[in-house]
Amino acid sequence: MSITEQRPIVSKLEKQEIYRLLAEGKRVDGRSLLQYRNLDVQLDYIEKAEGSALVELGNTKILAAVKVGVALPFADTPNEGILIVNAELVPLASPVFEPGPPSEESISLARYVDRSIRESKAVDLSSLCIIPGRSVYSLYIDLYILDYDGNLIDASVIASVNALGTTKLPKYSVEGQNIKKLDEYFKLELKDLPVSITYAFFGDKYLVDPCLNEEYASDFTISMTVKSDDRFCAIQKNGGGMISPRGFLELLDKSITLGKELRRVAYSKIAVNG
Amino acid sequence: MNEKISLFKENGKRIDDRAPDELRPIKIKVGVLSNAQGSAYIEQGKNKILAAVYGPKEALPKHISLPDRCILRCRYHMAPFSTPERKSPAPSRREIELSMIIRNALESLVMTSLFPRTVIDIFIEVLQADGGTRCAGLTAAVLALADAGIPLRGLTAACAVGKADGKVIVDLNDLEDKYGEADMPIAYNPTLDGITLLQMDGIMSKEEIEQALSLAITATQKIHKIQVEALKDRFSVTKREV
Amino acid sequence: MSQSNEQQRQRPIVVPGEPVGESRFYHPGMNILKISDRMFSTTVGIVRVEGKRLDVISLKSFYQPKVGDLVIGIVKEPNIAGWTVDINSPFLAFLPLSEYSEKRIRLTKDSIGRILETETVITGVIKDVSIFSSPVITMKGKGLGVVSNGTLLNITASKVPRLIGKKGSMLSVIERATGVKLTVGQNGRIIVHTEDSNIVAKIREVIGMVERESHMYGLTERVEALLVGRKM
Repeated sequence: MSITEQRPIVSKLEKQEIYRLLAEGKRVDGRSLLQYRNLDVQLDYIEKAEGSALVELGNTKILAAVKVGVALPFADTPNEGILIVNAELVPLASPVFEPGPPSEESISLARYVDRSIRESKAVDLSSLCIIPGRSVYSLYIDLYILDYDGNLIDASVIASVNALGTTKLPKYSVEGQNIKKLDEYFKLELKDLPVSITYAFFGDKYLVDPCLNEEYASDFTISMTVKSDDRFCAIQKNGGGMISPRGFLELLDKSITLGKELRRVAYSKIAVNG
Repeated sequence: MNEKISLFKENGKRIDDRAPDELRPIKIKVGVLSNAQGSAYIEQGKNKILAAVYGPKEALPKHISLPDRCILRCRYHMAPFSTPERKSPAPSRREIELSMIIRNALESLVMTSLFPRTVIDIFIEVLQADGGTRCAGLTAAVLALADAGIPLRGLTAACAVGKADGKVIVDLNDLEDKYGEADMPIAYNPTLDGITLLQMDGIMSKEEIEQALSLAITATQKIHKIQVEALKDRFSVTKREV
Repeated sequence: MSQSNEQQRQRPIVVPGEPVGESRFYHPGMNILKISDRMFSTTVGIVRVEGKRLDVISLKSFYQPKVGDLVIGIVKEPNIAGWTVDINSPFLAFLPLSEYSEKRIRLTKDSIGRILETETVITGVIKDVSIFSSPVITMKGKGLGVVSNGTLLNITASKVPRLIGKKGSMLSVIERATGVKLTVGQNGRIIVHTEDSNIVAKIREVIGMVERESHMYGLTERVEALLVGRKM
């Protein structure tokens, strides 16, 4: 069952400061309301994985790794490869992350990243078929949250796409119904570069890329994933509270503008094909 | 995904003969279970969903309680026989996410500060699924809360909008959900003019989202009217039984 | 309009989110959500206006203890300092040993569990309500104590005032017609001081009627008719 979360206490004075600054269009760490933290991307961090990236967004640190295998395709998509996203909120990253079965936060995070990649068609799953109905590539993206300072969603999408951008798949030779792994690799082609933009709301005011204190003090967040062609492929409101329809529509243009900028910075290290 | 399935007929109607902005038939009954403090049943198209509310009651174990408000516990669950293929009764990742999304939508609706240290349990059981179950389930859960006598900041109605065969449509059925281009579930509280549940997957442009949102507001207002009627029906004594 | 049409008329039911008035005309009372100068109901209920105060009386609600309320409790569990008591509310109440009786209890002779056994029905008064601990009840006072005989019935807590009626009018109609005393707890529990099954059945019917028709005009008359077996 989903239970009302127990947020760590943010003192009244800290909250007041956030609200006071918000009214002046400022933030505690000196950023403007629509400014992202510094972003650092390190490619191929895990050599044993077929693709990987370590992303630091301010103090939030996320490692994404892609493991490639061969699997039986799903019955309803016999010609398509398999993509699975899993997120681990590693206990060493935060006192609120606990060991044990995946929490609803980690499930919801993984499913949002999955939708951002799948719906944007960043990976052409039909290019990952070896023998229709029998053998297809499986891509497991494992997200490891190593340090938690807010905005896991945007950082996780950036980490996943970068990890996919570095992914190399082993080639297979097909003999009848059998396949044989060759000592050759080919690069996974990315067809799109989706980015997620997350807003934290305080009453009717909002800011992007909330750090942890801002996230805890906020009423709710809204994340939107924008494709390279400025269309949207995933949206999600997280947390209680409510937004007026007008307030929501206002975010669409903002996300397109912010998305262009963030995409340029986030994916400068991986080449795009197609 | 099979892109070849056509979701519109030549006459411009949808596969179930609806216009793009037309809701499926909706039937709602409030107060259908004997043990629950509050309950409601909804049929929307072929969806058949029960919602029940227990509480407020003392939050136990004590460490889950909050000193200044009541907490909500929500379980959205699909019966094994609700889908064409039998679904395992164990909660799937999808059900865990939807339980959270529905709870989030209810947090701002329930006047939680009136009952500190208590818990309200909300159960949504999908008996038959036909697309849009989270929305229909939420529509029913809100009525179960009202039926339980729990003070609410108005009522919330929910409906999915989306896109199929390039057209923006309202209240997607199972096929449109599966083979359409986008699905955007929305819950809206007309009293407070607030969206409390918002998700989207699939691809839509800014203009399409704007159009879909306006359809969603109209659709949820229609569902809200049906909610109000169902609640009043529950407590009316038009036919005296004596 | 004929008398019986008037009686059949139903007070309009409002639902959560329904506008009930404006704050320039009324003061918001119970179950009201005020947004700028507009007032909305937060519950399914009936609007009541008294002077400038506007309330919505809930048609269904659970019991929230208030100091001074007479309640009917069921002993749940003895512990070292008293008993926990179910009062049909989100919280269990606590009956401290010191509130059990005017008389001194010598614990050497009787264990707490034997003084008041689990499942015993008691009448008590809410002595203290705090958000930090359980509501406290007392059994000290006239007419309070253990109830060993009679029949226990239930009604939605928000309908207790209707069952009692203005200045006890409804209750006295019932007691007069049946010749039986009733103890009505604010927490929606009622003790009928008889075990005569015919009378209890009649009173059950009356309670069902109050439960269903609390928002109808002329309820007291219909209850009276039901009790004397008159057709209306």
